[in-house]
This record gives sequence, structure tokens and C-alpha cells, in this order.
Amino acid sequence: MSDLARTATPPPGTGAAAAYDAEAITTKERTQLQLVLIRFLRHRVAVISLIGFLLIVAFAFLGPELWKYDHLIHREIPADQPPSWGHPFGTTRAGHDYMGQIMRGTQQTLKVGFVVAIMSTVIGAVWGAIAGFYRGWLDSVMMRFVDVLFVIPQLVLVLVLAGMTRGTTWLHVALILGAFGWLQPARLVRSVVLSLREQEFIEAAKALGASDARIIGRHLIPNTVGIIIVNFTLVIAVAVLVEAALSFLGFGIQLPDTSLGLLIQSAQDAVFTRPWLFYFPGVFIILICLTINFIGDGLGDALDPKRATVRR
Amino acid sequence: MTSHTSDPTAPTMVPEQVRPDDPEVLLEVEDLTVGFPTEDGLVQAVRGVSYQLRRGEALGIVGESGSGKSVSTLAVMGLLPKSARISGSAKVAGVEVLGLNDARMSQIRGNKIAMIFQDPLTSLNPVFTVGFQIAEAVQAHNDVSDEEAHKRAVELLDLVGIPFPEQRVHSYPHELSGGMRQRVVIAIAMANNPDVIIADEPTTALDVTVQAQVLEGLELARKETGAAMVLITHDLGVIAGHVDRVVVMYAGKLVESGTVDEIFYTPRMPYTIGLLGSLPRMDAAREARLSPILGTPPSLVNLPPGCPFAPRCPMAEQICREEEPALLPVDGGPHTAACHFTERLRGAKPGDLFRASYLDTQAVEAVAELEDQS
Amino acid sequence: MLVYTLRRLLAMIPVLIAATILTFLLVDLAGDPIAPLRLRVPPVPESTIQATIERLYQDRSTPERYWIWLTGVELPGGFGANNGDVGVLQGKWGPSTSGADIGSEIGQRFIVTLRLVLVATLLSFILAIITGVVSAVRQYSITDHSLTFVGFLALAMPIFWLAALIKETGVWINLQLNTRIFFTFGATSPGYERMNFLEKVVDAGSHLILPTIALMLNGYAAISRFQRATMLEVLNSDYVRLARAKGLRNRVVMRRHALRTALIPVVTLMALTISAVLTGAVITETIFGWRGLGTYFVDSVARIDAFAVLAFVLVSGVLVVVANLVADLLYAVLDPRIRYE
Repeated sequence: MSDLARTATPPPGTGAAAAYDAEAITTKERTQLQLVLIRFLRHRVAVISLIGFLLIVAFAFLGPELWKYDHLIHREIPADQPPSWGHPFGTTRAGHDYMGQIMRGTQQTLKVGFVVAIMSTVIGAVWGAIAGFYRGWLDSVMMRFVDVLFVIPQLVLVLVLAGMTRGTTWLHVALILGAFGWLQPARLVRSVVLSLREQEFIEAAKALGASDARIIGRHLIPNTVGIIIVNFTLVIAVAVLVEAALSFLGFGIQLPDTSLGLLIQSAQDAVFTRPWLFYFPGVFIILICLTINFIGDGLGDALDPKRATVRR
Repeated sequence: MTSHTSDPTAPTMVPEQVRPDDPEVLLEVEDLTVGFPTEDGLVQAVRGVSYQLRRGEALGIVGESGSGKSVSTLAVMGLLPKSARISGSAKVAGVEVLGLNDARMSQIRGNKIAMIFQDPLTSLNPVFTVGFQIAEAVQAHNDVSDEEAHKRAVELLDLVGIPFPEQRVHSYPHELSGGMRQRVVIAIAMANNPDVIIADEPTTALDVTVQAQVLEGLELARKETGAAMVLITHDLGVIAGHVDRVVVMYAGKLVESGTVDEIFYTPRMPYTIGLLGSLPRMDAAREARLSPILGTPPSLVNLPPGCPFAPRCPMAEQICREEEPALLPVDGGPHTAACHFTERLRGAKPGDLFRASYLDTQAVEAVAELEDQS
Repeated sequence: MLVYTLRRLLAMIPVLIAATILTFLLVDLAGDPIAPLRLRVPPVPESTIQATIERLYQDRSTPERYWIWLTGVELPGGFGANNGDVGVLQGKWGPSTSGADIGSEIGQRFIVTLRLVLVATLLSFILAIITGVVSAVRQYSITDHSLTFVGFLALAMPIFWLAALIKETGVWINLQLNTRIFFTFGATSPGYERMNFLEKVVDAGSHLILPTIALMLNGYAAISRFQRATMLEVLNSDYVRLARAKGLRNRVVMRRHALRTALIPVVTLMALTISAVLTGAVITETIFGWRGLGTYFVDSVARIDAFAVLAFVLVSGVLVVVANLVADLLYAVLDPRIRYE
């Protein structure tokens, strides 16, 4: 060895130490989950939306336990009152306390939204993953089926099923929406799996002798989880809107139970005469979807930072 | 030096007089500094770079990704995003180009100074024919009819060596191979006989077999137009044989500058030596291992004081971590290097400085044993 | 190109048929068209019920009923025997529970709905492209942030709520100003049939205003986001950079290189958009009281009128499929990288 190297030459056996010194990483080591969380928390709007959404959920599920009125008619409730201390959201012509109704309506709407999202995402992800992974005729058959169903607008299919079966409970509505809501997640997951499949790390895993199950479980699914989660939030928002439309048209949740869509239907002529009846349910739907969309946006940026470009 | 942002609404700079002492200097960059504001802080991509390019010369800029080599030339072309903070001076044929507005800069770009980018597939607009895109370059600076521009496009395609130019002129970029596309890009650069052509990693995205064609195309362009060339690359093999002078960049600064021979045969900065050592060589002994430089380039946000290469340098001592070495002449000549210990490197070879590569501790011990015995 | 078009059209037919089979099964399993009849008060005589069952082919098996609906052809052996009022491939839509002729209902209402869907889709696209491009060019400015926020708001708003709001606002404005500026009910004014062509256009057009605004605001947001992302990608692309490096003025680069290329991908959203607008139209027609296909569909579902529902599904399916095809062809025209042999 010439004498050019550093005077305090590390002894021969510790060549590795010099290597580590040069390779010293200057940032703290963090797990994947921690990184995602940190990036999400940087998104002010997403965080505010998350808080807002949780407040709405609390309002819908804890509210009825704490508030003195429920969503039904009571003779002692004065009719047609604008918002006041006693009735913060006002009252209806028939004698409902509106806040009680909104709480109940939000609860039903949210329940449908969650169940539909879970159903759609699970079915869709499994369907899309299988089709995308195995390709060939299985893929063709599975996706043709999806394509055919896609030809008809979702609301049309839902209306046919809902309108003609006349179910009334929120679960009934949720099942119907879920029966058609899985199409879009299936397409999404399939395209993600298709592109992942082509990447070299899958080939490398195969070359190392990994079984199909292991490849799917350890390599494909973790890489799709992020996209599935973001899509999940989108599906909730869509489900909320479709359920509301269904109830508005009279084919969804029926009286005496209520949903936000049903409340708007009763109030559609009262926009200027008794505005509280019209605006509260609408604003609640808007808030639910808005917060969910922002959360989804924040999650998307947190999970794939390449999406968010360099800021000013 | 006054600071400029590449803001198209900034007032036009009055062109300075050409320096009386050297009309042959076509591109003069002095103390160029470029910073990008990001969420994590200011990224100092270029930290005071100076070089000159004379008529007929070819200058090679060598460095790793992130060394600032592309950013410095993009600053000269005025192609950096609006948010970039640029200061220093850059003169093309005597005219200061930093801080010019869009109108003035458009007259210079593609006309006095042209640029070729790395990836030929994405450099060309997929919805226009190559003929149209060449003709566009011609018509941007010359008041000629569509027909004449078209003829010139065919001429240029022929010049860069594309067969059947009259037919090819109507092709779309995706119909051509990578090598041909890059030659189309060269043709665009040549179109208005610029004084300076900047080639930013022109061969990186291409196969080795195609690289030769593209470099040939560049030589043709130089001959035809008489332009001086700046060739940016991380590939030393491309540098040798195609340029006259070389500057080596690291972490946003020049660390060595000299003629091709000086850099290849008498390097005087550890980073340069390391780069040369990473090259496999046909004339080396069979058992000789490559001696790469361990580690990665430093983050350009919050650079620690001292020489940026210190963490990876086997020769680093206390002063290296405190004081950043200036770019100073070596052996009195135009050859310059930025290292506190350039004197020690006289006659050094890569193996003298960098160990052969492996992190397997057992293997290291085994080799150490062998060395002890030898 | 022509061959490709024809091939695509032919390929669409099995898809449509499959869609009708699936929907038929859905309709069949979901509801019994006779049920409302049985529930009537005072009760309907059994003979009437039986006659209705036969008239609506409810006494046949599901596959036979589908065959009758699709072809109206009687095979030797009695399979498919019918009253000659059914067979889509013959252009006959089948019997309706309401007694009205499905074919003529659809015929009249189709134009009404079509003009709403087409105008709304076109305007949605235009609005979306403008907002998307402006947002991208002025990325991270106040304009961008505001447009993005409004877009998010539009995405979160239920179409029926927005439509009701717009309608009532129109009514209120009319009241305040004591004149009928906005038409808030119906697709046309009474006496429409007697108008000449120009008057018809003006009348239909003015009735279109409010519903179109509602549909537009609902649909543009998703396209706008996509357009913004596409435009950003193009603005940061190498070829835009090379265009600048050539010495082209910023305005020229924007118009010729950025815009032209960025408008292409948005075409792929056309089919999805038509689907969404169709859905929105169903709701909007209901709110504005139009006599269109949308209201017909809702009424048919309420009546459990199987053949009418099927007719609507077929029509909307055809619309979506055609939109898909048009979008593909347009894309091929605009992008030279796509050439169908």
C-alpha cells in the first residue's frame, strides 16, 4: 500500500469500517409506515379534513346517544321552526327535530358508504388481482364480464335492482350498491398488477424460486395496498352520492327511517321558503365527500411522493 | 455580481461590449450559481462555476448525477424553471444572457447557441413530423417560406447521415430508431449554424453500438457549422477522443480542469483519480480489480463545511473537513485542481488511493492476509 | 381505418347483447310486473290479471322471454310464440304495463334527452379543458388553488341538490324580477309543435340553460383534474423544453407544442363522461320536469315495467358504446402514434 491513504489507516481487517464511514447515511432511519405518516401530516388540508371527517362520524354515531331528540315525529315539537337554541337545525312541517333527523340521516348514509366501500374494494381487488396476475383466458373472461357491465351506467343498474326489489333497510341499499361498485376497483387493481408484473423485481423473485402465493403475498399486494387505500376513499364518496341519489328518487332508504337524500327530497321546494331544511342535509353530504376526497388526495401524495411536484 | 431570476418579464439587459481582449471566446461562464428552493431548503445545484469555450474547441464536462453539470448549461440557455435563483454571469459571443426576457432570449436560443438533450424519444414532439420540427427551427430565426424551410430540413437530414431524407422528412419520431432520432435532434441544433452547441448526455439513453453513430453525427455538426461544443457526460470513455479540454464537476463546483491528456494521464484531484479507477481497462492485469469510490454524493441542501468530497476521500484530513479547497493552478500551468494535497498526487494511480471493491469482511481479511504475505 | 371502424362496430354487438342478457336477468329476477296489479284496491278480477300475465309474457320461462324480447321470432314447436308486438331486432320494443307504445315514447323522448346530454357533455369538456389548462399553466398560484378547490367542491356536490338549488334560484329570480327569464319546468313550452324551426331552436335552447348548467358543473370537475395533470406533464416534458431551446417564443411553444399535445389524452374520458352525464340527466330531468328518457326510465322502474326498462337500458348502452367508438377514432386521428390497421 502506498502512503497516500489517510495516515490513520484502519487495520486490514476493518476495511469494512472505512467503507461504512464513507457510506454513512445522513438521515434518520425510518420505517415505511412512519414515512407515509410524516408525509401525510405535512398535508395541512388533508389533516384538517381528517379531523373534520372524524367529527362528522362522531356527530352521526355518538350524536343520537347524546342529543335529546331522535329522528321521528313527536307531537310536542313545534312545526316549521327555523334554527334556534332549542332546535339548532330547526324543525320540519311534520314535527321532526331536524338535528335529530340529520344525525340519523348522516349515520345511515355513512353506514351505507362504508359497507359499499369495503364490499367493492375487497371484491374488486381480488377480482382485478387474479385477472391481472394470471392473464390469459381467465383474464379475458373476467374482464369481459366487467366491460359488459360497464356499458350500462352504474345508477341505471342500481336503480333497476333497487327499484324493482323495493328493499328499505340501509343494508339492502348497501348490498345493491356494492353489487355494482366493485367494477371500477377491479379495473384499477388489474392495471396496477399488470404493470407491477412486468417489473424486474417480480422476475427476480421468480428466478429465486418464489412460489406464486409468495409473489402475490409478499411482492404484489404490498405494492398495491397504497393505491387500493386511496381508491377506497374515493369509493366511499361515490357510494355516498349514489345512495343519496337513490334515496332522493325514492328507491333507497324509506320512511320512517331517513337518509340525507330523502331529507333533500322533502325539502326541494323549500330552498327559499325554509332554507334550513334544504341546506343542512346538502351541506353535510358536501362536507362528507369533500373531506374524504381531501383525505384521499393527501394519502395519495403521502404514499407516492413523486405525485407531489417540487413546490415554489 | 447582480442576481437574476429567469423571469421573462424582467427588463432587457443592454448587451455589453464584447471584451476587447478575446473575440474568440464564444461562451464565458463566470461564477455561476444556481439554487432551487424546495420544501427541505435551498438546493445549491451550482456553486460558483466558471469556464470558457473558444472557437473550434470542444469542452467536456464530467461528473456524477447531481453534480450540477446539466443545470449550469440549462442556466446559460435560460431553460430553468422560474423558481430557480441564478446569479453570476454567462456570455454567449460576448452578450450577457442571464436575466434576459423571453423575447431577447428566443433570438439567441437555437440561433447562436443550441442544445441537445439526453433522451431522443422524449425530445421530439410525437404529433409532428421530424421534417416539421426541423423546419420550425429554421423558420424561428429566418424569414423563409415553408417550402424553403422544408428543403433545408431535407438538406440537414442528409448532412447528419440519415438515409432517404426526402422520405424520412415526413416520418414521425416514433417511426425512427433511437440513433436516428438523436441525429434529427442534432440536425435541429445545427439548423441555424450556431456558434456553440451544447450536448447534454447525448449518448446516455442509447446502446453502445449506436453511441458511435451519434458521436459521429456530433463531429459532423461541428465540422459543418464550425461551432464550438460543450459535451456533458458521466462517461469518461465518451470524453476521451472527442474533446480537447475537460472540466470535472462535483457537488456543484469544478474540482479539476485541464486538457484531455492532463486529466487522463496526470490527474491531481482524488475524485478524478477515483473516476479513472472505476474504468475497466484493457491494458490492466487480469487479476486487477476495479477500485470504485465508495459512498454517494452529498446532499446539496445544507452542505457541511469543507471539501464536499471529504467523506469519500481516502486522503481526507482535518483541514479537508474545515476548509473547501479553491481551484488553483497545478504545476503553474492552465491545469487546475481543487484539493489541499494536489502535490502528493503527483504521479498517482487509482489503485494507490482506492481499495479494490468488496464489503465482505471475510474476503477483506483474506486479501489482507495475502497482502501481508506478499 | 374504415375496416377498423367496421370491425369495432361488429365487435360491439356481442357486448351489447351480453349487456342486455345481464340486464334482462337483473330485471327479471328483481321485480314482478304483475305485483302492482295484485296490490290494487279495489282488487282487480283474476281474469284481468291472467290476461295481463299473458300479454306481458310473464307465463313463459326466462330464456324464452328473453328470446321473444330480442327477436320476436316464433320457432317451430311454439317456442317464442308472441303477439307480434315484440322483437328488438325487428324494431319492436314490446308491451308496456302502462299500455302506451314503448317505441313511440322512446322516439319522442330520445331527442329531448339527447340534446341535453350532448350539449352538457360538450360544455363540460370545454369548461374542464379551460380550467385544467389555466390551472396547470399557473401552477401553485392563487388561481390554481381556487380552481382546484372549486373543482373539489363540485365533485362533492350531489347532482340533485345542485339541480334543485339552481331551479329554485331560477324561480326566485323570476319572481323577484317579475318576468320569466329562466325556464324552470319542462323541456319545451306549450305549443312547441306549432312553432317554426327557428322558434323551436330558441325555445328548446332556453329551456336547456338551467339543466345544462347543473349537469355541467357536476361533470366538469373530474375531467378538469385530469386535464391539469396532463398539461403539467406536457409542460415539464423534454419536447417542450427542446421547442424553447430552438428559440421559439413562449406563446408559440404553449399553443403549438404544449396545448396541442395535452388535449389528446382527455379524449379518452369521453365514454366515461357520457355515462356520467346520462346518469345525471336521469336526475336532472326529474327535477326540471322534462319529458325525457330519464323520467321515462324512473317511471318504468316505479311501475316495474320490464320491457320499458329494458328499452331504456338498450338505448343508453348503445349511446355509451357509440361514444366509446367515436372517442377511439378521434384519438387515432389526433395521435399519429396510434394507427389502426
